[in-house]
Amino acid sequence: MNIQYPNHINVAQLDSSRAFDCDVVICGTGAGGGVAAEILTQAGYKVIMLEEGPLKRSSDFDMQEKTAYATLYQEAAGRKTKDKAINILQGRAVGGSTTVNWTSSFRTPQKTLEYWSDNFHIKDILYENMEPWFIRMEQRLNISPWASPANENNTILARGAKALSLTPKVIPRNVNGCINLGYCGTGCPINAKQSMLVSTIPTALESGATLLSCCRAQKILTEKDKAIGVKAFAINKYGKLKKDIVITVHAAKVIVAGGAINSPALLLRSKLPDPYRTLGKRTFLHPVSLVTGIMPKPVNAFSGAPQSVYVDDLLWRDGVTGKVGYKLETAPMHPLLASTVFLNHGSHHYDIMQKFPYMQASLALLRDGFNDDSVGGEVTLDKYDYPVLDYPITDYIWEGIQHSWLTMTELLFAAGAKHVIPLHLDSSIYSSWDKARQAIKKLPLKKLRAQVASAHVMGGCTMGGDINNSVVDSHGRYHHVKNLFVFDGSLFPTSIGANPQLSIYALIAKLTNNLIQSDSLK
Amino acid sequence: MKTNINRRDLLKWITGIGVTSLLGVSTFQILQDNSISDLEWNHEDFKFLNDEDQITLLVLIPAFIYGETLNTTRIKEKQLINVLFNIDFAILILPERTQDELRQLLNILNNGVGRWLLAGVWKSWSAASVQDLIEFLQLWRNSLIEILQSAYQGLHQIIIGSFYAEPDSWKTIHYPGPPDLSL
Repeated sequence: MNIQYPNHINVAQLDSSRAFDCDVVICGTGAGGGVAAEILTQAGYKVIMLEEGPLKRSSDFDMQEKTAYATLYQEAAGRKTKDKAINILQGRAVGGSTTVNWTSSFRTPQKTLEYWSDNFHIKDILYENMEPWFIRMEQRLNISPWASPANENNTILARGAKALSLTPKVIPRNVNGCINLGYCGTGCPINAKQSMLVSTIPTALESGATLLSCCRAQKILTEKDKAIGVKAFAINKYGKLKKDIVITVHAAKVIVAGGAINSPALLLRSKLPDPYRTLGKRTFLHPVSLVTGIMPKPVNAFSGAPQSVYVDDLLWRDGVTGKVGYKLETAPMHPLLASTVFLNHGSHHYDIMQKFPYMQASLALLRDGFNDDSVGGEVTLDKYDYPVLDYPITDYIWEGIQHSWLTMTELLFAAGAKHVIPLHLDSSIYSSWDKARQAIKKLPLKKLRAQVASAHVMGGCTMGGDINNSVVDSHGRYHHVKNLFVFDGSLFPTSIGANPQLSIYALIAKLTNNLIQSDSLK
Repeated sequence: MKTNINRRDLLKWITGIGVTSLLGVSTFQILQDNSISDLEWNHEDFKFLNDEDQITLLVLIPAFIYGETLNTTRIKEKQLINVLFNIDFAILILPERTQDELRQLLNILNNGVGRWLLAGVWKSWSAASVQDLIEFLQLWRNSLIEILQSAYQGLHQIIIGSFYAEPDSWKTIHYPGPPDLSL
């Protein structure tokens, strides 16, 4: 199936600066920008989308990590927090992270929405307000529980969970015609994944929207208290700004949708009014802890739908505001990423890599942000005006990480693992649950010793009803500048407690509809 | 210490020396004894790594990836140079802030005094045995100084990732590679 991308300009190939005019300019083409572009274009708005990454399509996706990380991910899949203690996987291509994610599609948990309504005074955000939008986006992106049998990696998670009297459930996925390759993370080579790249963006382009790729929004242009457009630069093949090629887009409305980290960075670079110093704060990561099991039979965790089983029993283990809860899922294992998570060298590393086909990878994503001890991180700019996220790992998070290591280790032994390795520099390769339990309790809860990752970035442009603890209002409008909207995962005032793509799709569909309605009332 | 040796001479030196016992293996003896006459290694092709960086990494790559197993394993030169190219490209696409940090780190490693301060051992790479290097990395990995720990982890990610990115490395870990969609 060949998808067409009319009205696309690769800005890296331009040899002179250009100016454009439109009704709405959208900075970013991920889960937020993609949904907004389609709905606005279909409502008759003239839309221009800016994307710093390249336009790559199914024929470019060769299922090689080397190609994918270099072209489709932020910082070659090696983006890190300021102290380098957390490694962040985030997309950077047309379609954003939806082009490379593992397709898990969850509705926002009811408890999360209640917490936002109660604590951040966001209007119309309760489950009953959101449900029609979940349904609409599930239909649009063909989201349904994965009907094929789980691969071995996920089957082990389900088996271990049952042995611990937990309840494994089937993950809904946004796929159509998926043939279980297992290479979602390097871009779907058969257009089965219903990412923004194959759904909303081509539809918007066919309806007259324009896409500028390899084009980084650098600054929001303002006049008095109004946003009037965006100044952007071409970027070269190494992701660096080409300051001689300037793209100026004048627009009646500006939508910022670069995702958490990049959206607050764009607003910070623009030096917009921020009287309560809320911009960039409350950035959340779902810190992820990892445990590997060495199984008696090959797992081949590189093959088959990467995530199809989840375990939610511990997500609210101590209530909403108590100890941090977590969701259990699996991670696919491909050689490059797998080799870098075993932080050892020489024969220790070589020997563990020999077990590659036998590895099961379990992960726990921690629900941060629901407690005064969990206020997330802060995005600032470095001397190159490039974002840097300072995310200190607090004792609140450490307690959850240790708890999750114990749960996953017990689960993997119960599922038949011969050896289990929590990913920590001081961990051994454990051969029994008894030994492991004692040892894990003694593992130092220290950054750079424990390995922590994240594939979900949220927050940084908090949405809320109170001007003193939020950046935008309940409609996604920037508090202090007119005609400026934030439409992406950076709106969330806490983490979600689930893989975030469907939460972003549904909320942005709702907010885009609000925008159109309020325009029509004028 | 400034190393003026050029890459071609270095390769001749590496491949010309026979294999000895594990502890005595010099870091410059880790390649398979293949002919290097066909090998094209154009130093102009490197955009970030300078001559000294390339030599430093040629020493560190096998220590990271194989370590003691160099007793029985040898790396193909082409593999080693592919890794070097992958590292160069990977650094080019990192943000400027991270490039600055890597520049500083490589400068320290290239410098004999820097190495001595870091690890307190040898003054030139050619004097280091594989065992020395493994211990050097171990010291670094477990350092109480955070910046050394994160430097170890940064180099680990970029070196080991650049090796396992290559199909040449997949056989040893029994990974069949991606499925062939043309079937």
